[in-house]
Amino acid sequence: MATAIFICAPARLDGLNSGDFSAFTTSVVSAGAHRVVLDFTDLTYMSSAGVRALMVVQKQLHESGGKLVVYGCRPQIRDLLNLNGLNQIAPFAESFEAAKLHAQAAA
Amino acid sequence: MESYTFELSNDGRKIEPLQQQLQEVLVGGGVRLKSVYAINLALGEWLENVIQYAFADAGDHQIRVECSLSASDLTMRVRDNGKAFDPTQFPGEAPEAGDIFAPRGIGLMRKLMDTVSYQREGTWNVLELRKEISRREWD
Repeated sequence: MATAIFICAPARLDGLNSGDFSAFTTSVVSAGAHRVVLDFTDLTYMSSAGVRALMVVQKQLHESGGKLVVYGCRPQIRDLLNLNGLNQIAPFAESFEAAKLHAQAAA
Repeated sequence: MESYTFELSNDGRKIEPLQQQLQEVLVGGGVRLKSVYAINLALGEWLENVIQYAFADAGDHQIRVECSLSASDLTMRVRDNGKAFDPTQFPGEAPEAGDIFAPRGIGLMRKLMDTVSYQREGTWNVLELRKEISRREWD
């Protein structure tokens, strides 16, 4: 069974730190992690810069045949993704175990 | 009508403290959290845009946020002395879902607010953001 890598997002993803978050996450994927769970449990604020960071990692994983799962997403973040037409960007898991199973399932 | 004024310098690190202050005012006034979040996100998008693009020099510039809270709506006037930019002339539709590098902040701000209007007053950009609000005690 494929190994899933969990990456915890900070409390905010905005213009200040989204570039760093995106760079870190894409470096993890480039190093060979193709089943990635973004843990949004602590994430309470995401601007459009954070949305872009999420899209970057989703695209990278899609192109490498990998899989992205989002876990612990708060309603306001879901609303933001919906507003951007990105409600299908990744499966949204409600629990740690569900996230792990989603990520380990075939891409 | 209650009025509040906030000021910040053109430093992105100043946005979060300002949003926290505004949140305290709005939550204290009974505004529902969903509206508070939308207001803070719209304001944050505009402030990020101003700080990133409005000023040609690296000097210190002040940005002023004037808020008027009535029983039914919140109006924010954001003043900066950067180069002229009218966001109401910017496309408001969300870009294609796969278009990573398309700008999203201005369109998002317009979606989150009920009215967005812009004026150039001398050397100042004045953006007015208005949102109808509901308060918890009226639920």
